Amino acid sequence: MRRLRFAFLVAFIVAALSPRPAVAGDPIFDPLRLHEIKVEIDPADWAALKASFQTNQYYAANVTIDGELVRQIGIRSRGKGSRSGTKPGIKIDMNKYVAGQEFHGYASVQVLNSIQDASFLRDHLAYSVYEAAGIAAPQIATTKMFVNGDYVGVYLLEESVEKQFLRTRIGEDGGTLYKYEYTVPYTLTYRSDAISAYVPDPFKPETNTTSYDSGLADFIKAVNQTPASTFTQTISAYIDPQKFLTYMAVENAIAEYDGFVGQFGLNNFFIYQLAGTKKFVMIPWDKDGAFYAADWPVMQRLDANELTKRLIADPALKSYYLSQVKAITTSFVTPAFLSAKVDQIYPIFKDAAFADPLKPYSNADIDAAIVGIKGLIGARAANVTAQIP
Amino acid sequence: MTMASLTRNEIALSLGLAFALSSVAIADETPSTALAVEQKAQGPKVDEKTGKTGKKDKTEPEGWHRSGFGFASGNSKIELEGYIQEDFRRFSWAPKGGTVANLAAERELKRLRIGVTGNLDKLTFEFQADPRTSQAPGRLKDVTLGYKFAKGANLLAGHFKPSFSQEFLTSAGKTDFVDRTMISHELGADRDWGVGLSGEIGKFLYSVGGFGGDGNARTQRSKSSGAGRLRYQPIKGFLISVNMMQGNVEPDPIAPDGTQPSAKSARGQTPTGFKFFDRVHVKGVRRRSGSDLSYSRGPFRLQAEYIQNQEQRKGQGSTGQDIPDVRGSGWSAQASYVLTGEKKGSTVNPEKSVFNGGRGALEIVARYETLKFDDTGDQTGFAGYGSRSRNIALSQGSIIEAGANYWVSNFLKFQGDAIWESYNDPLIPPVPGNTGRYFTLVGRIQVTIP
Repeated sequence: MRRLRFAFLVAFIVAALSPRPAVAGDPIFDPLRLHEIKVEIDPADWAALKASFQTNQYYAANVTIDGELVRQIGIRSRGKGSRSGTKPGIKIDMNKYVAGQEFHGYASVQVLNSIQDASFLRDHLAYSVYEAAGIAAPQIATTKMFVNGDYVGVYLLEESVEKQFLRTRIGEDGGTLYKYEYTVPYTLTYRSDAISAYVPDPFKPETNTTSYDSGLADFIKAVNQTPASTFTQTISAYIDPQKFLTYMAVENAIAEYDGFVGQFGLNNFFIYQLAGTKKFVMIPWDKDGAFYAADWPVMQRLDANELTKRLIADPALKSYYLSQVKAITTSFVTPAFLSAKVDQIYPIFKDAAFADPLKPYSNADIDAAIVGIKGLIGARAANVTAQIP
Repeated sequence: MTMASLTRNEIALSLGLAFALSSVAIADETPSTALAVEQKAQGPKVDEKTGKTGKKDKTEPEGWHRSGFGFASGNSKIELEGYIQEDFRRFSWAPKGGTVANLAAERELKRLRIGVTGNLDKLTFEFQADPRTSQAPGRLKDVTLGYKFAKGANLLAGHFKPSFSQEFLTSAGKTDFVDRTMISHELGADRDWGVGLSGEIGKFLYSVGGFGGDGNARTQRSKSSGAGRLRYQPIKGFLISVNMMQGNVEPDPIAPDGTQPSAKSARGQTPTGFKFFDRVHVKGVRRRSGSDLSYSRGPFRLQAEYIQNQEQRKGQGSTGQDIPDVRGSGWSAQASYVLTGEKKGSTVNPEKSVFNGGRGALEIVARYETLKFDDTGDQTGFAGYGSRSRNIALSQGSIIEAGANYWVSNFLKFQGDAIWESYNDPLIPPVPGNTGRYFTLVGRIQVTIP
């Protein structure tokens, strides 16, 4: 029986780490190309967006992405800690003013200012590892941006997690997508049986915005109140424990300090309730806090989150988690996998980044960030192997 | 609101009223003496089409009349008034990314009006409401007290329609089409509390009033407003009018967290419920102006109307700067012809109803109207759809409508219209890229207290 379980475990890991079939990436997110966004907007509106960058006030504009004009879109300031009045990150809503308008099937795209990541690459590299581990992650690429003809710097053009993402990456879009909106530190503790204790704050519904069920509240209740003896079996009705632990393994493999078990509690993820079920899947988001330190503990804060704490209390699942961290790190957090991407992509945007007039760091800082991230990648696998002999 | 969503009391009230009307009227149908035409702002009943004040019908008997729905004694009378309208719609299209559920209801109890009207010698009074709880805060319709000083001076106070727009001043129970023109609906005012003075001087009819706002039940209501309307009748059956209304609009404050208040300008929405121009933020003077004409001859009537609504945007730019006014303007032209030969007045009264062995009355109608929104500033720079855009991108919707009205009797009417909508900009129609025409069928069953 023990041999059978081991064989199953090995087979699962091999399957999980095998190269995934290539997802047909949309050319607007091709990472091997420096894209171009041109925004035409009333100068007063752009000034207002920058002045009130902490609000989500929309402004009408025309936008041209890689030569394709989309008229009358809505743009607003975006981000949490990255919000800036100097170099604002923006969300482009295709259908804010034009009902049903889409761009390449997307109702919106994100344009990140990357002011917290001088390398411009942490999101891309982190998402690459999630994808390699079999977890759907947003597509992302670098882009130059112009506003009314003025160059405003290098940004990141990121796929929004919305229905198009769900359709193409999860396989269906009929369920309820929640975005975790950080307000106060929270670790998935029980609040109430009522869904209103969790939705819309901090779990903001992005689909089925008025027709979500009590599934999320039931899930959190199960996390907190299921007896230890039946925990794994009960929680399996809500998540695939191994898939979830693979997600967590990536998070600690890439040394992410602001994720599901982040330093400040839950942050930076979507959770999707599959249509017609109570099953949830995780979707990563905003990974500019990844690659924080080469010696990042592989068990970092797993005991500080109600769900991860109880999952790893199961020896088999803990063993699975550790094996996943080691396998993911040694397979993908490596110079061969990640540093190669750095070497491919950095030259594409380097000149544009150096010419970026609004970036909050120097050109030397960019070079140093690239060197630093490659150094971390080079050292991470050895460190994890040392932590998990 | 559909029948399905009505409360039991409302259904009972509707059915009871309809049954009572039909049974009484079939049994005792008499030539209607209730041709009184809607013109609350004018004080006493004034015929919008002929321009004549509604004097007491010489044939009106003393005591109970109108199948028992009215009672007269000397120079005084009191009458029950009301009607029910059930509407039906069939869309041949759906907005992209949405369904027809986002549009006007496919079936709804549109209006359920009940009230009393009358006079005690020179003192007039009226009370009309829609009792359905779903109609709050607009359940109160006409609540007025008036006094007829003379033919040229009638005072009216209460909750009533400001005298603006020929189409708006026509009772919803007597319009040529199921829906009023979108120019009157979107650019016009609504009932509010106020005081009015009106009267007839030679070939002129005037009406002026001061109101608490331009729509008591509207969230985008203006502050104190004034309205005035002047009509001239150069020849019999031909009326030409000008009207104006003005008030100030104050925006609601921006929330401490930066959340924007609801915008208060006029909007562009077609009778099918599709919105092609969203409200923008306004502050300052809201000025409506317009003119209309009507020509009636026997069974034929021609009407046309122009309305403009201009609103200031003081400090409403995205950085708090003054930006050019927003202006909505449009015109409509419509014609009607009663095929069965009856005279077209404020409504049509069949010579002999179907219930008395007659054929009822059949009318055909056609209308064109267009409504556009733009700003009054120069057209340089980016033109957008934003609620604080300095340069507003032109949005225009147009409608061709044709239909028929059939009066089974003077209390039962069927209406049916075909609507074709089109738009100027490929971005604003229900399906972006397809400027139209979008086809919709609408129908109505109306039961009126005879």
